Amino acid sequence: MSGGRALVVAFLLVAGSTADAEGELFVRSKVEFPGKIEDHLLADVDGDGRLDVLVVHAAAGDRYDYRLAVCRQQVEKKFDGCEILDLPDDVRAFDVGNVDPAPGAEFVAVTASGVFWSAFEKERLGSRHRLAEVPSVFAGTDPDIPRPLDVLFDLDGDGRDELLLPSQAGPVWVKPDGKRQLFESPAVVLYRLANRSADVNAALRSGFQSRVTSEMNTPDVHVFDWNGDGRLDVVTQLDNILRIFLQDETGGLPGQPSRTLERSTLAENELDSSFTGEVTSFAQLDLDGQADLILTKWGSSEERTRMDRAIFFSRPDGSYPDVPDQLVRSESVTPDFDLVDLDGNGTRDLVVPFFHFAPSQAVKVITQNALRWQLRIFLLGADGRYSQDEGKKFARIDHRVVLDYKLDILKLLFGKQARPTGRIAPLLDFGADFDGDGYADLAADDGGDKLRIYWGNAEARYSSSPDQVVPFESTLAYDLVDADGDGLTDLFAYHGTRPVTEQIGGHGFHAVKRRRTERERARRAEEARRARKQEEEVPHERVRLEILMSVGRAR
Amino acid sequence: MRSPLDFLRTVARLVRADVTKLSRYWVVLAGFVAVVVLAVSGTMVFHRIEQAANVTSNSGYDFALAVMDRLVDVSLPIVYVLVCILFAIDVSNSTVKYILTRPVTRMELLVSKYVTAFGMVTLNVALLWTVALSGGAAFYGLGDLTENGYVIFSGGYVFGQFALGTFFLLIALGSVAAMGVAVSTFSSTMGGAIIIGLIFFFMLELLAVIPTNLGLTLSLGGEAFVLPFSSFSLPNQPLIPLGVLGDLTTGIAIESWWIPPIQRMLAVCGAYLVLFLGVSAFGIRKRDFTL
Repeated sequence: MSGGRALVVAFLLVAGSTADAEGELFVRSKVEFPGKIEDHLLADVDGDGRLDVLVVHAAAGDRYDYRLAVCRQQVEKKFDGCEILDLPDDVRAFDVGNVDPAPGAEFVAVTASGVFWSAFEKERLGSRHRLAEVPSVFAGTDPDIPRPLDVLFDLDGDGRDELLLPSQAGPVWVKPDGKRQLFESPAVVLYRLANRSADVNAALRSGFQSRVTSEMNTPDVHVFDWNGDGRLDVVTQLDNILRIFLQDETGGLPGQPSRTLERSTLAENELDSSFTGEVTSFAQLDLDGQADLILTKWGSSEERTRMDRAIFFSRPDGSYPDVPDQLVRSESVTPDFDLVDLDGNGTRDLVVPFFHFAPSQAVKVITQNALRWQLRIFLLGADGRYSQDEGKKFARIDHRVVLDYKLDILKLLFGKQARPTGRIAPLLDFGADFDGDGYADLAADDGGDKLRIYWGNAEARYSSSPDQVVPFESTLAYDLVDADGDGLTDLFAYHGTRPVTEQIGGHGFHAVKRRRTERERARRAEEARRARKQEEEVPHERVRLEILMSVGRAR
Repeated sequence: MRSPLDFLRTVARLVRADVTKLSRYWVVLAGFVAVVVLAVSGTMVFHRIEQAANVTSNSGYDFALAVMDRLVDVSLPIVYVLVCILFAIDVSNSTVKYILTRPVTRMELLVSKYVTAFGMVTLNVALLWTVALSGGAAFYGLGDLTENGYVIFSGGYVFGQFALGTFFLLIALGSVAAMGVAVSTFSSTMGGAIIIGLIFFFMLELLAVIPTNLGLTLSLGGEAFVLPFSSFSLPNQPLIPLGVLGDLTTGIAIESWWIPPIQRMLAVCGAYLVLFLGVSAFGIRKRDFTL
């Protein structure tokens, strides 16, 4: 980062708030500042009970100068602008949470030399305080783009967050008194011999010692009340193995797993199938308070696009059956699904996206630039089971919702904005309650700068045409959350060029990212070249936020 | 002044003469044999592809519809070419002179060609459905539409919707056939009719691949909207009712056929039909068939 520049710059650029003309469902704010967006999160940084927006972005014209924009929510549901804070060079990952007694969240930086926290002061980050010196997986690694990482959790329920940091031996819990506890759930390290240069050297018949590359797979860490006792437990997940560390009455957590669970629905002949796999998820589906397991299997030896969700409901003693209680079958291109209480009975209903492979779909995509999605709804009844008729093998679909998403292929291929680097995930979400009636509303971006809203109800039946359509710039990055505590869901949409990561040596595991020193050298050379040519750097990249704060219009 | 009944009688006689003539002409017979061969082999290949790719249809209806989708696309140029030679046969064989020496008006002759052309596309669709549904029945079975063991729609309902879809399909195919008749009206040789007809066909086909975000920006009630260039494509219009039927096989009931895509299809096909009728009416009035 440029040293001569002031550490903190207050930046107020294009910002505005308006109430929607279309029925005053939302108060709309638009905020814009120079840069290329990298990531975003929501947190209450000033302790006013309202969530503020934090955007990690690269400075315009310098993709290695990362900054944090803090856009504070004002009274009356408005966002008037953002403060742009410099992110220290050594920040590898960060989280925002409440680690000190003062109200409001603090910035917690995970670096190679330890974990530090700083308060969000007016237009700057406060001085650094060491939170923990824990050997983490980040120690000694190449710093890259600072990313948000969930490392702060309030395990003991005292209102202040503790640190749960990934390490090679398992997540490490740093308690408020500074003591550490390891949850034994070690990473799996895969070693791979040789790389692309080895192929080249082999072709040249030169004698050399091939390099050993490795990948370390640390477990996912969840903080979740597994057994419904009101205390948060720690759950780690690596592949299909769940390790559960249950919190006891005294607030203690064991170092060894209280339970280890592994279920599989893959048949022997499917283990060798290249397009067959499975993944374990868990959630409290029914009303018994205990977590239930959902195994999603994709593909089969007969049907490549088949997606089976096997449900294992927990038993009163906390055990799980060896074979699934229910099977939900559908077909799709991705194993995603959603678990939402759609009908307001307290249980989690299953929403499965269905994508039908047919020539007509291809024609539709090419000629009409539209993808047709079907959302299949499986309601969990009072008996704690999804609808299933006697003697049937699979659960029955209760309702279906059909949505078209405009996919502008030309814009994707030749547009000024960079193509999405990950999968295309438009705003298509049942997680909203815009009107505060307690039922999940369906929010669906149509891909053509319109947001379609379908009101939820006790039958979980959604109308075939949207109940409300509001102007909304289509996005692939969004948050749906109640940001001001009024019980109404608000919508945050993020727009901005996502820079392409510079790679040397191709893609995949062969890729070698430039190290910071190399980048620095390249950047200085570029600056010198510009100075020679007397070029002016035009900060054309913009980060844009569109925020729709619900005001709860009566239906 | 001839009564409408006389008009219809004459048209019917002319159509019968056309059918007799076409059913004995080896080019037309070969064309329909080609359609059947393509349909049967296409169905088999489609099933083989499904097996090879480990992607199966949800039902016999789903399979039939997927096959039909492709077969309509493939067979349309063949039938269109056959329609293009309708007039050219009579002109090149000089039979049109003899027809016009009879008490037959030029409009009756033109209408009879349209009716014959529409009969040809109807025969084409009937052949394709027969093959596609037979394939669906053989490989997956027909009957009630089921999914995961649950009945979604009764077989009667599905066939009813398929019939409605076929009705709209015939409208779209009829407008394509109208283009063939219009081209044929101005042609003296069969070769010329085919070449000119195919040029028009592929020009209009190309419009279909222009993405929908490119088009004419118009204003309606003060609100700007884009009329995509692809809207003016004719040969892809038959795919629209088939696309609507595609929802049915995934468990979505068709509540109404009066929906924007069908309305657009009817508007486009209707506009082209009026255009081609006008062009061919002008042509048949002005042409000197005695040369």
